Amino acid sequence: MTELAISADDAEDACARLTRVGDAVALDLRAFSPDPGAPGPRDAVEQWLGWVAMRSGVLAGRVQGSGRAAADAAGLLTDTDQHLGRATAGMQVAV
Amino acid sequence: MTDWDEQHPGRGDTAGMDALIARVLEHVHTLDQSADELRAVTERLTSTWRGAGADAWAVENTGAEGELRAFRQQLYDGLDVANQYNEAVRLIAARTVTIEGDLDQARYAESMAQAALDELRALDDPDSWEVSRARSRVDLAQEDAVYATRQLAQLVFERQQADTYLTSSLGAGLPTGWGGGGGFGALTAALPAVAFSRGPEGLAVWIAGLPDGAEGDAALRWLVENLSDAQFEALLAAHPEVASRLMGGPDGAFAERFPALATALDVGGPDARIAAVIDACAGLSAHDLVVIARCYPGVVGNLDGVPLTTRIAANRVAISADLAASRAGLAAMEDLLAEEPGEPAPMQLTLLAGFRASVARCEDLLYGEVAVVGNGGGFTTGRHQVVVFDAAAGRFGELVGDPAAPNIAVVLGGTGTGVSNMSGQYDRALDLVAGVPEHSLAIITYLGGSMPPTLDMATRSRYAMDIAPHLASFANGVKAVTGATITVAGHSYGGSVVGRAEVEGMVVDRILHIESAGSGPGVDSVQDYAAPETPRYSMTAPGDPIGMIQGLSAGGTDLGHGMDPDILDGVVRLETGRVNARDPHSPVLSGSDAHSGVFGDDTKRNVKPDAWDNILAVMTGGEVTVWTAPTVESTVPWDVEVTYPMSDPTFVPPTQVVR
Repeated sequence: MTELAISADDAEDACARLTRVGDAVALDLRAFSPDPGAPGPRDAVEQWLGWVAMRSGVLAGRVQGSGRAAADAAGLLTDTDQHLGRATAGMQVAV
Repeated sequence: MTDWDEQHPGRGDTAGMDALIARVLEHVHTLDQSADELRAVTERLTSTWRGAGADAWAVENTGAEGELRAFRQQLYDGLDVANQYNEAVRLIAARTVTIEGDLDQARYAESMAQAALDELRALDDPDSWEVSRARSRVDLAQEDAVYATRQLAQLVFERQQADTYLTSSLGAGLPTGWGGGGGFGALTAALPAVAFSRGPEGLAVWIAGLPDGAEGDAALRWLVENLSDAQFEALLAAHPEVASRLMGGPDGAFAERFPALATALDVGGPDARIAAVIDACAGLSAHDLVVIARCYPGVVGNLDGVPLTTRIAANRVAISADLAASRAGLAAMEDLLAEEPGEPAPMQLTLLAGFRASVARCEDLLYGEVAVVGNGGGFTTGRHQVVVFDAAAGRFGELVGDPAAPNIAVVLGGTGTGVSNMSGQYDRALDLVAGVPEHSLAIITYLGGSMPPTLDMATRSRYAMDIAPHLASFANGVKAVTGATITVAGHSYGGSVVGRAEVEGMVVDRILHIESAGSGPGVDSVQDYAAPETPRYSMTAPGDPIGMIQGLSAGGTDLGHGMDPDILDGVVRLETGRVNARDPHSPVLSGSDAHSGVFGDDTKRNVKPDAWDNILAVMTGGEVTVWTAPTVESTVPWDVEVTYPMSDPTFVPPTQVVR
């Protein structure tokens, strides 16, 4: 038997903090690409900034998705706990 | 800004580059802080959050933290390149100014010297020494100009070098196929980076913006490679149609990134190909194996020689693609029926039912929970582990148990087995896996194609002939890639398939015929098999109707399944014993019920016959009980009394250690 436990408040706090982390991780500078003064370098910088935007976006989504996952887990356990008619204070469910 | 040229090799927006570098450098620090914050949040929540979900969440965040730090380093490396480039351009620009001054000065000096020389030459009687000095001044000024010009040319060369350095160094940090002519990175120019923060729907928006064709496919594969397991699962769950686009065959990008595997695909002969695939996969990192499962599921999901865990991951994508296709087919059929007046035609109803069944089956394989043997040996729930999935060909294989088990059995069902009822094969396999110490045995329920749907078709050998090559390659691949002790067992018609696969080149550690239809179409002796010395076992309970077709064949037709495996030289016939192996007073397992009764009674899980013990002993290398022939007494031909030794509670059958 595994004891499952999660604090809904802690999970919501984690979700909020990871949302902020995700916002900070994303970096899209594609609109501000400087001109190095030659076609090859110009393309290279643009492609690199494009990759930075996409890669940082993916990572931001990953971090924020993790925050939502924690909040969802707390929500699921809360629902289960309430369904079982238990007190919700500690949010503890044994399965 | 105008591009640089041979007269102005120092052109470039170095101030703009400085600003960019400063902004990205600031972000490098932000990424450090973000990684630290992610770790802190993880540690804080998991200090109170308990359970498997918490463990998985912590693992995911640890992975994300590692990726953040890796990305931080990639940014820093890129900045280093950009900074070196910018400094080089700045220096070239400064030196260009100096050289331009030198050149201007030299040219002015030359013009002055030339004028003086011309003036001297214009005299009636110029002093030759003075003319010589004036000419020398002209020559010196020209040399200075040439020198300055050479220096400018040197700067042009240095600028070219700097451009090449920037282009190649920044490009080297990009994913394969991202940059350069025809790179898919250009496709992302208009795609919003924030889409990724909107969960599967945002990802779907991003994907929907990709054009058809190789570049769009490459961009999609880049995306799915960069998703976490949870993100990828969520994407496929919300948009299984994405999987359809990943199902293509090996393309140029595949060959470029996985050249050894691409070469292995073209190797002729299944065993040589399996060896090449194993070699190629051994050279791949754990991340690469994840990538090929996600990005090329259609290539590796059913590729023999690929690690089982990679096949399982790849086939989740393949099943998602089938789910999308089945849902689309169902929706189209429902729309059609809604528009048509009157009752649907029988064929339409059949198609409708087929789509519905396929949708339900795929959903179960992807999201359904099945019973598995847990770490304590008891039952818990887990996910399906599909190692073969080809809906069009009706091929399916599911691993029950631990992929790293030292013993793996491949088990084939009999007549009527199909993709729609493989859950029954799963339950039977799970029962066996749970009957031995945990992690010691895994079973793959295998369906290599169409099996005879009804008993009247079961005498036909063509099903066995068609499936056998696939089984041979599959089993050989499992043996080679896992290194486990492999038993291939066939129940009923499945026994004929197993026998024929041996003819087709299947070489495993043990063969087991269970109430088998025959030793394989065309088999008269073990010499017909690829490896005659392979240990073989067979069991047929007394009175099982299968005995009526064992050994029957009609030359020149597809009727029959070769010799009766019970009497084939070199095959050890096993005791099927009593209904309850633990109760010597229980009846002998016999009659038509014994055909499947060798696996025990579904309603009495704790009651297993001797046959079941023997099946497990063969699969795990234990000790088997050997068949003892009954005594037959007859005074007249129509009154025959057969007495089976196992009907005597005191009888103890002889035993033999499994080879």
